[in-house]
Amino acid sequence: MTSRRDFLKAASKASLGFCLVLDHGKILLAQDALGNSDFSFNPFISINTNGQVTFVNPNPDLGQGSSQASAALIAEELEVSLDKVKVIFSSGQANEGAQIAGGSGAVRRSWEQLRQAGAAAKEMFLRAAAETWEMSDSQCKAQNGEVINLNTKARLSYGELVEKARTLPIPEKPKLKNKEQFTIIGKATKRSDVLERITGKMQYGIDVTVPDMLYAAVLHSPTIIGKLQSYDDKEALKVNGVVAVVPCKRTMPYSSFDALAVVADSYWSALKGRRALKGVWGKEGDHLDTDIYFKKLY
Amino acid sequence: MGKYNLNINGKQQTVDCDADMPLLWILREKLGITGTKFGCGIAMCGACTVHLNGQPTRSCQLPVFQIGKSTITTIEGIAPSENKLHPVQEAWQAHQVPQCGYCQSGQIMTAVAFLKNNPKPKMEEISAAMSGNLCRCGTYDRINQAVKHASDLLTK
Ligand code: FES
Ligand code: FES
Repeated sequence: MTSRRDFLKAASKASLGFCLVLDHGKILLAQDALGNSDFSFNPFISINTNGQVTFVNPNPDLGQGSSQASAALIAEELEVSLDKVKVIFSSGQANEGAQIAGGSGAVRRSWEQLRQAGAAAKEMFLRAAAETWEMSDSQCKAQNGEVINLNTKARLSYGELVEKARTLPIPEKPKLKNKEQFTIIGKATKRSDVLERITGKMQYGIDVTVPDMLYAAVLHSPTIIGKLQSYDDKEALKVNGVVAVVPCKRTMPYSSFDALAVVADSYWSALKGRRALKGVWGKEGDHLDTDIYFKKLY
Repeated sequence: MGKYNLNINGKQQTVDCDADMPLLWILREKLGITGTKFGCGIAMCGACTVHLNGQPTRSCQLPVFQIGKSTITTIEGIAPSENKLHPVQEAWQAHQVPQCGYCQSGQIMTAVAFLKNNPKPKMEEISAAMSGNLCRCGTYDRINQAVKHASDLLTK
């Protein structure tokens, strides 16, 4: 997957083509927005001169398929096939909008915005083609990443139209398709990320490393609200790779509970250290005890 | 600490580690082979399933000193070549099995070994064979369909 940084680098070059950005919730063209001093750069949809569409997905995808669903909203209105939309992820910075996965909200939140962005771009390509052919927009049709001249059957690809389209104003109220016109939304389509997820190549949180990274394994009370009374970390600290044992809190909405973190130079050492760590916990909430529960499992 | 020679995906690798270090963590942390996942660490979920001499094995429970000369295969080692998938992976793709995918390396390793022992299984046999691999996303039905499909691909 392309990182956002690579994308920004590419986007800042002249090869940028056509780039719609989100600036404080408003869709702008990148080159207009770049002049804004307080511009918060959020590349949103870019189309390069090869017609490649790149989309920065503001909705985290934990497997629920938001990257496919979000790409479908754009592809539908932009009139490109779904496999032409390359999805990369937002870095999670505040100016890129809230990063929320939950409540089945990805499509609901993006439904209007992404379709409008796709439709706006499409109308700009239509306009650019119509100007080139010196005819009205209504005599042109956008289809499969191209604009077709309905009179002469001539075609211009989005890639070819990028340079001209980016000089045009962004339509205020692009016209959205109605349900009967949908060819992607509501249809069964294949996900683009399946291959990574069946070959072991997908990167999950647990696979990410940074230089000099330490890992923590947290020992919780066996009862849900048991308080830490004392602990013995002598054996834990002897484990190869364990760096420290740190009392910490398990924070929950409206409350927080005692816990102990074993910090080590590898995840395995942290887990092994946790096994060697002894905590003495109070009896608070002892109607539910995980130690007893696990004993019953074996 | 000791030195161990391991045969992983047809390649000889030497690691320096504690004798009780489980294969899962050797793969992930010593060798950077991260397709095999950590779920529970107590042999309950199957996310860490690899093959030891072709048999599905929970790598979180396999200390390195027990491996000896056994050959190890991980999700990275089942495809016949760089740009070709294993038939089980092809079936997984056709049925769009994964949701988050976190459990799927383990699911696929279990299925590959199972189909070797039982090339033409009935649906009940598939369910039973796959039941030890948990999927938090609940992709069980697609898993069963894909195993059936893979059986067709492998015996065609
Ligand atoms: S991590 Fe090995 S079975 Fe769960
Ligand atoms: S696909 Fe998410 S845990 Fe199985």
